[in-house]
Amino acid sequence: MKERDVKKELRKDWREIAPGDRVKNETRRALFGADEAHEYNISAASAKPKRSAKRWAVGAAMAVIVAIVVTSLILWFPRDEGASDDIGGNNTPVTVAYASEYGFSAMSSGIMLLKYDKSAESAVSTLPVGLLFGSGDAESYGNGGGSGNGNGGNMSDDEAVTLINGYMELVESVLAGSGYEVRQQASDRADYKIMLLTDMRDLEGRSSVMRLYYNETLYEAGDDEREYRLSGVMELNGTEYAVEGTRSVEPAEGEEEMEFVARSADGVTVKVELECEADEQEYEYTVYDADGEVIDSFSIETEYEDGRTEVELLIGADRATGIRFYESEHQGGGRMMHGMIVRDGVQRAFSVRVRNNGGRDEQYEYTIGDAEIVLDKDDIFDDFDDMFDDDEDDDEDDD
Amino acid sequence: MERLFRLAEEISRGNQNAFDELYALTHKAVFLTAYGVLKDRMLAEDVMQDTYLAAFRGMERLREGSNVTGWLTTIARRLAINEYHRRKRVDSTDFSQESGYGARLTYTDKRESLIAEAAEVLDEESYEIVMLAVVAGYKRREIAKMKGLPISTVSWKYKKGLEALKAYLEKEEKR
Repeated sequence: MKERDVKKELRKDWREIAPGDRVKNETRRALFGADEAHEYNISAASAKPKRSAKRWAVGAAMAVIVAIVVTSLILWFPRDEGASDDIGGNNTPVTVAYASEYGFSAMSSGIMLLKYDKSAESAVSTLPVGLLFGSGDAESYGNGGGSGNGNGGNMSDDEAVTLINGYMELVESVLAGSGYEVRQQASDRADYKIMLLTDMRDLEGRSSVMRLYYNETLYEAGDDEREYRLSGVMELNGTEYAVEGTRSVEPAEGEEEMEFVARSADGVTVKVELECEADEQEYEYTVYDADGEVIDSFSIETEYEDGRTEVELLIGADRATGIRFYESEHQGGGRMMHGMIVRDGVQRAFSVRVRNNGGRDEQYEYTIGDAEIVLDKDDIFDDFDDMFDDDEDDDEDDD
Repeated sequence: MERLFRLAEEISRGNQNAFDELYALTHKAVFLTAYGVLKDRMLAEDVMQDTYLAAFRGMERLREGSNVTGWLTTIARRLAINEYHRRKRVDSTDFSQESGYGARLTYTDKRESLIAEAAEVLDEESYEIVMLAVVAGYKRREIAKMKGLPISTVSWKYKKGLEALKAYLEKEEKR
């Protein structure tokens, strides 16, 4: 056990005991009398569009972020903070790793905003991907998730394979699409000193460019800790989002925390929280609707240990569904992925050997528990294309 | 810190949005303080509500530059202890465990979470520092200001607190 496990356990407990909005609403009523805001919340909630229509797209967006994190294998190393004190100065370049964090946070929050912001045109909503953990609907993450067939305490081999397949396809697709990169260029907006451009390809190979314009100031510098504040705007697919954030570094401890918030014009908000220590980093994503209610939540954690990078994705408020794994080279050629899948707290160990014969001739060999399953890559992709098509039909019905 | 003071001023002028923002920034610290004493979610929620009401009805005692979060958590702790004593008079009490912050105040064996157990394992200050840092997301510098402690003390207690909880969990796992 490590200290991070303690922190994780405490945060998990917090999600279970955290007070709901009842206290806030009752306190506000007691303080201010008539609760107009509460009335507004109720009417707004009733007018809220169904989320089911977006469930595939939302899940895909989350999965794209995960896959990019994984395939980029972002490792954290303590950095020279002195170089970034002048951030926002006229001629000072941004340190690459730090720019990447802002760039990645902006890009990934943009992907989530595109999914939830009704006014924006989605760049990735038509991705023909099989989904990680099934529907991807926020309500189902902590409530069975999967493909809507949660069976409370059991997970069949087929279900386990389905969960893993979703991830495998995404990783392969993102690998093929080359992920993303962050560049800094001279800002073409007078109000902002820094412009970061992030290129990314969706799973169909289409390119999107995110522009993040911002100013960053050193807000407070103590003996052990420095805090920076960011404010700016993000442009993605022709839509503009307000962004703000803070970044706190403790050079002596080799630790950094960052919070990046992007908000759409109609109030949908994505908060990205990053916590970095010597050899691990954790991203937490929370999406809020215009009323401030959480509509999506997941975390991605990478840790470098014993010569390998372990990755963990957990989704839903209770973080009871997810995957954790690491990859290695197989002595006989190809890659191996080893890990656990978890749904509603039920775990199953798995390993996957990817025989790398090139192109779509790759073959996946699964071992889940005692079962060994061999699938050609074509079969996996066909399965997921079918699933995606089926669900789109469902969504149309929902609407 | 200054932002919180301005929000508190706005609340006293009837600004509901200011209350929403201040609540969002402080409710974790307030709740965790009450929960550490009472180790009961519903009771802690009640104390949290009473805390905000008591605080903003006594706004005249808040001075420019005051630490609003520290002010709120002080009220929360006092109200939680009052609630504990009130219940202790009603309930039969089990003080068989006499170590740790929460243990001194425990009136029930009911445990809801590691957070509640942390209140038993750690001393009061360490519990609050660990909870404020890990759960509420405060920076150690902010906690130092809030509690009027040197940042080195906060860092030391934070590390020691995590180590103690880690050792506690490892011991529990072996059982």
